[in-house]
Amino acid sequence: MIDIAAINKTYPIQLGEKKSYQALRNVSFQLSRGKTLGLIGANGAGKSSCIRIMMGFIKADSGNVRILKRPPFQASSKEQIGYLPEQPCFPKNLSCIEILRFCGKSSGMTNSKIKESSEYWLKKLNLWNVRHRLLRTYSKGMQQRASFAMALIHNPSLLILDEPMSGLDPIGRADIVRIIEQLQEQGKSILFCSHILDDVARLADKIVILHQGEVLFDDNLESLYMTTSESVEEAFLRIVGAQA
Amino acid sequence: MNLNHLYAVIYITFMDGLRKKSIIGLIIFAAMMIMGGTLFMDFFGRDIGKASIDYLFSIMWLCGFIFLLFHAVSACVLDDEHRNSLTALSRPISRNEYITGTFIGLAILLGCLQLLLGIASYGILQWVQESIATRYFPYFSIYYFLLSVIGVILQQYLLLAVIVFFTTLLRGVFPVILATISYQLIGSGIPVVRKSIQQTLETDHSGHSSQNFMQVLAAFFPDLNQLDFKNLITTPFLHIEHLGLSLLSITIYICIILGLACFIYSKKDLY
Repeated sequence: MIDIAAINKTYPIQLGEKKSYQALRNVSFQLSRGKTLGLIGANGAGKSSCIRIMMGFIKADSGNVRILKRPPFQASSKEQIGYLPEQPCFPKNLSCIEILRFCGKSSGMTNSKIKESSEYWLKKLNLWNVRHRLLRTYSKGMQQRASFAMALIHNPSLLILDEPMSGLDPIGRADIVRIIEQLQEQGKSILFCSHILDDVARLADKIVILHQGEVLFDDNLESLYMTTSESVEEAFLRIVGAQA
Repeated sequence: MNLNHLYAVIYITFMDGLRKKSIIGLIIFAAMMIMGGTLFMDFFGRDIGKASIDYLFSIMWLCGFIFLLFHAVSACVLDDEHRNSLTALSRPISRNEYITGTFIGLAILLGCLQLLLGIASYGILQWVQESIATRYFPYFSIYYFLLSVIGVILQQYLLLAVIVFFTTLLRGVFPVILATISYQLIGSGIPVVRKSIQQTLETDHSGHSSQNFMQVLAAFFPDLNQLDFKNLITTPFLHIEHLGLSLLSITIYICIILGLACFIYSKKDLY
């Protein structure tokens, strides 16, 4: 589903900066069909750069990227991708139902299918009663759930989730974890970034640890632990600390 | 270009703009300026028809310009800064479709604003004409009035295309506003300078290089005055020369600018 091979990315010098910044160095990893990959790392590790490259927002300087066997810059490659950004970003003067109609229309869905799928996801995410309210009046958690509905409305086979639990209260977080588990049961491929390592340990089949733009670990969850009593947080700190 | 994708982008751009409080405020401001102007009609004297038309079209131009600088610029730039564009581009929408859809959505919104002001202006002009003696306002052509409104809209569509182009080149609202104002000032200044050079050439034949330079500049800054038809509304016997050519050249110019914007945006990294 995702095949990233030896990519490098350096951001050019911006006004007021003295040198360019290398965000990714020789990064490679794969995600197979039906699996869940947890991409973890400290702030500035390169997780967001990886996701932007996968979504075709920025280009890698070198290396090869294939998403669903297609280059990420092709608009058609996004037909089967559901993307959840780190911060909810949509025109705030639209209602939730309008933005879902936009998402459905742009994904080639019919009006009846859009209606049916919107109702299903809005009810599941507890947004049905507020579907006609403008998004600017939503709380952060509600905006995050609306973003989730946007990512899922067209029933994608690959989900790219950037901090899916960000801004959610414990109840909202538990709901999202439950939905991700259901999506895993349906055989969806999922890549997600999270700072909440417990969620990663609970959901991911495979872990990629990024640190200062480099991949430090890329294997199954079981291989991450040195001892049976080690937590994912301790394992992460051990790997990152060894590099530092 | 997929029409479903284009329609989706046009829809969110239009609806998002329509519900902005600043746009509603702009419409109220324009209505007050148009209505307020009627209080001063008595001071206009003999040429009341021409003065009223100048005043009303100035209001239309000003409101359109405010819309462009304070809504269109922020809609295009903040879209990038607030990453709303990424919401659209994470769907199977190409960057060309996004740029074109945004332009059309804003253009429809601007067109609606100008049509609304045009209808109000037409009503005011009718009222003024009926209120005074025929000799003060002898002729009023609705066809040229419509043509003049189209002229204003087309001039502002050109500026809108320029704004979209600048937002693909520059970062931030302020640089784009500065670049747009500079473009407008240079564009409106060139015909004056060209006329001055022509007058100089009649007496002194050494200024051909300046004239050539002005011709080169004219390719980048088309003369927007060629779309100013408002003098014809009250003066029916003037001929419009090269009307079709003017409309066609400005339309082609808009398409070229948008094409360039699409090209640059498709190559740009969206951080």
